Amino acid sequence: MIEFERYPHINDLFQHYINEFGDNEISAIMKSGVNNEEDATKLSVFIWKMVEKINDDEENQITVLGSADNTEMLPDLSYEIAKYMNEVGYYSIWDKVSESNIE
Amino acid sequence: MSELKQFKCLNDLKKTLSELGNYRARPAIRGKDVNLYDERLEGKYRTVMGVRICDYKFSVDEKMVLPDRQMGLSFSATWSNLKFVYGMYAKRAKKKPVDIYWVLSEADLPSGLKFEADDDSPSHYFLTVTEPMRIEQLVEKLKMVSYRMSVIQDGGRAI
Repeated sequence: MIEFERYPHINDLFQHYINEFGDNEISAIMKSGVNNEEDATKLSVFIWKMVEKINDDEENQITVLGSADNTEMLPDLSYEIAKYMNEVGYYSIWDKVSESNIE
Repeated sequence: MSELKQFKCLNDLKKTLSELGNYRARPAIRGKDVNLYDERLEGKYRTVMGVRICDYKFSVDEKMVLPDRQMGLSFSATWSNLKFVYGMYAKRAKKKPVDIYWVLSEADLPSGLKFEADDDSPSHYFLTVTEPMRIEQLVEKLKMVSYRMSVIQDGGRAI
């Protein structure tokens, strides 16, 4: 199970957006952990989709986890996922997917 | 702010940062305080006087902040660490300027504050407290750090 400890609110953020997107595949990866390159790619792609939605929700003043602005959690999300991908040996996949998502 | 620079694209920003030396940097959406957070009263993310509970080691009554060399505000020390944090702020339909605030690692921090390398990531640092202090004192010191930080302004986006 993937569980973030330094910034525990990131677990709540994941849960909210997994539910919102109805993404059973990511839900399963969060339960089993990243076990191969395919999991790592799917999780990385999902995270950037989640990032965009966090920003959209702030723009549209949609309340999530008690606040209409969760953009200040983005550095925590970046920190936790980089740390996790490093630990499981798939940082290069996170890096590659992320490079394609920054302008 | 002692110095003002501007960037129009990620390559500009990367180049400017590479010329700074040993920087410690944090991005912030323009209009937001770089070191203090909007107040949030409940949950794991809550704050005390703009300081997040998750960032520092608090006393039980939450009036004091206690030293811990792996607890503190998060700062990037390399482009590879900073670029995705910046990218996350920037990934939005209606662009908002995202400025980069920085201070040199050897800069004169207020007493009781120190940058400590993250044991889990050498390109990441925590702005830690080295002695117990009241939360009001920490807030004042973080404001002093903000005042001493230089900014690289995002000049390529408009609200």
